[in-house]
Amino acid sequence: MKFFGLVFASLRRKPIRTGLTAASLMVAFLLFGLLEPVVQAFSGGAAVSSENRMWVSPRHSISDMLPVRYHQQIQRLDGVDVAAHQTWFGGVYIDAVSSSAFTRWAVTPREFMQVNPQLELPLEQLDAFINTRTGAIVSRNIAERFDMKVGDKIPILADIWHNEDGSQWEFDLVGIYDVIEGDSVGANRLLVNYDFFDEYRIVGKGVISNVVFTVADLAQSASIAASVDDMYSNSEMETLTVSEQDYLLNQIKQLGNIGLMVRAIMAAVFFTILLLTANTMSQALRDRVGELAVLKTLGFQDVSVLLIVLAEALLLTLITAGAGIGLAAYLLRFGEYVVPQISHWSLSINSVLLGLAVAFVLALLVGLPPALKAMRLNIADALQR
Amino acid sequence: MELISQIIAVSLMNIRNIPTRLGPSLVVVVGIGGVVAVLVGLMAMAQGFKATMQGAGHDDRVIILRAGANSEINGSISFEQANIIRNKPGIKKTAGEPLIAGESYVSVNISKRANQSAANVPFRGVSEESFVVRPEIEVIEGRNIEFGKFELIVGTSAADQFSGLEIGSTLSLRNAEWLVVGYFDSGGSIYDSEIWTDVLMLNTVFGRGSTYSSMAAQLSSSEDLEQLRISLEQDPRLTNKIQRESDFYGAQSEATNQLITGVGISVSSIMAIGAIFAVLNTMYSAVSERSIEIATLRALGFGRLPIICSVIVESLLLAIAGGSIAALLTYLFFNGFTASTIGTNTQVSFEFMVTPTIILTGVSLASALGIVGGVFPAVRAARLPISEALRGS
Repeated sequence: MKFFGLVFASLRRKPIRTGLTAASLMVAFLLFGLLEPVVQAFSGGAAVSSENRMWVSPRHSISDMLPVRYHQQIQRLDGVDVAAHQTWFGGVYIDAVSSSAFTRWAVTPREFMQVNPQLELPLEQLDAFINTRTGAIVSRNIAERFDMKVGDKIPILADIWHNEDGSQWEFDLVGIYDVIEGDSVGANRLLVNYDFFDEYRIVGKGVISNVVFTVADLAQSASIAASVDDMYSNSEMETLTVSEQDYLLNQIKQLGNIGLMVRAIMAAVFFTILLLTANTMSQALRDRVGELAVLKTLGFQDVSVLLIVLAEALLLTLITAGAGIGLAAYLLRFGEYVVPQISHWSLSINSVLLGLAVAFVLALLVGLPPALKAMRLNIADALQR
Repeated sequence: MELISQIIAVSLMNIRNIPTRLGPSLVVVVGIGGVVAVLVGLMAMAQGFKATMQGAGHDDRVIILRAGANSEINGSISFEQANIIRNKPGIKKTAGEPLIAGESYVSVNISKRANQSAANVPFRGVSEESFVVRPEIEVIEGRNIEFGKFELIVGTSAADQFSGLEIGSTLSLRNAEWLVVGYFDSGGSIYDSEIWTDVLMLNTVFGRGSTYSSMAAQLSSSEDLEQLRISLEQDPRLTNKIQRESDFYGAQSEATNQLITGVGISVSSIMAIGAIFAVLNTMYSAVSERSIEIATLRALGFGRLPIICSVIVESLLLAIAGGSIAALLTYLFFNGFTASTIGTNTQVSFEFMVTPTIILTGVSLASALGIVGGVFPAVRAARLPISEALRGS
């Protein structure tokens, strides 16, 4: 600890160089912090879902619909705990970009909230959702972003489901739900009451997009999925039942190699800046060989010299990494305005730890070669230079 | 004149010195190269996607949908309405027959070759007129579909991207077996990502009844859009909207383009800031290593301006070198690279396009970064006190 003065003094030795190196390191970690959520979104890490939820979809096409009676039939199957259903509402809220920030679904309130316990809605708001025909609820982040409050009217312009009066729908916001950590399915959604929706739509009455059900015993989920699909095989509308995780993963895979590309770009960005910085830092350490020899002449142990040099590298990278990641965490609040399609803009603890670990490894990579050289330094040779 | 020859002399001296300071100089080249590579790559991606989406769009062609629908998948036009629309003014006629085609559009689940996971592939039911309205469609292998049969033709990009679509193979969809009879090409537009069949067969199997998803028509001339629009709007039997094909596909690609451009601009600007720090670092240390040299020049009577210019020229040249190498590498590796992603509802395949404009943008950015990163060290070089520098302090 008593050597901290020395470490700081050497960092202050060339303030411009130290400042610029710190600044570019900070930029690298800022980018790391900003891009990590994007990478997560593309790799499917962002949507953490419950293992025991299963989705039943039309087997051949997303443009197909399931008859609503499938819901009751699946509910009656052995091993199915609770079944709910959901219907893609689509539509436009304000404009195309705002609309892409969240999805809109028609659901049966009671069952839907039962199969999705990760959505926390106050009890009186749940009652209001069940009992209000035109009721709708929305996740908190979306309510905050678009300044929606309970009691507001939410206008949606239909693109699929037109109603008796044309294409304008209006819902009453009766609740705002939170999504608990660790299971983000259902975030970024507006949910409306299915009964009202079904009564008011002019075509396709009695059809739904998916049945979502939970299984009592996780070990049975594969066999229950198979029995659902068997029940409807060779029928008018065959089904495909997969776990929610697989369903969501497949959606991400549909983004295709764009996701891969973005990840490659992230890696390139990060390593370019790191390499540059590493070069400058090791240059700075090489410049000081003479001074290190003086320290040794004064009686510093080999190990102390090694540690002083390493401490300098560690101090610089860890402080700048912390600052860069911290700044990223702050800026991420505005991420959804730049790229509305990705709505889960926050840094997980794991990402922060990963960033700090990278900083630590970087400090060793950059600091260790000159530190070892300093340790093995022959005083007479070094002073002669 | 004297000034210019001084600038040239000092700049050349600096440039000849670059090999002795290879490491720090490479920092500038690599740093700026990285920024330019990312910018060019993302712009090429956005450009390629846009070109594919708009390649289908011709100004004299229109798409008619149900009012309120913003993609074909949501459309529905009854056969009665379609017959009314067929006889509206403004639609081009050949041999007395209007050039307008009723089509159905659904998306079907087919495995991607790359990861064997199901993807939403656009499946279009076409009429015989569809091929007249879109003359660029060419069957390049096998033969065209026979109407009235469960036959398919597959776009070239779709054939590349999805498995089980070889000519002669059958595809099982909704309890029907469809035979792949040929491949078609539309010159790189979005249709290449689609699978086509007879609209009536699609309607029967997918329970579409007597409705189309959309109609595609050829206008007599591109100015006839308004005439047709007014005529559709004033007809009480119709609830349709009409859009130029180019506008329609432009709107479809907007969200994805915004995503790529948003990411591209944010990432490149932050990277650019990092690169400027790297350039500053290199140039400051170049100036400080050369302080004796610079002071000698000043003592010999060289002015401040030539010194300033020479430092800026050096950093500019390094930056342009980095930018050009990066742009060239991006061009070599990514131009023509095929990617596929999900468009509004369905898979779209497209090729990265590194255009001259994009390369120029990249190199311009590199130059700007080089100049900005060179200015401050240059001013410092010019301000070095001559006597102190010569003493080597």
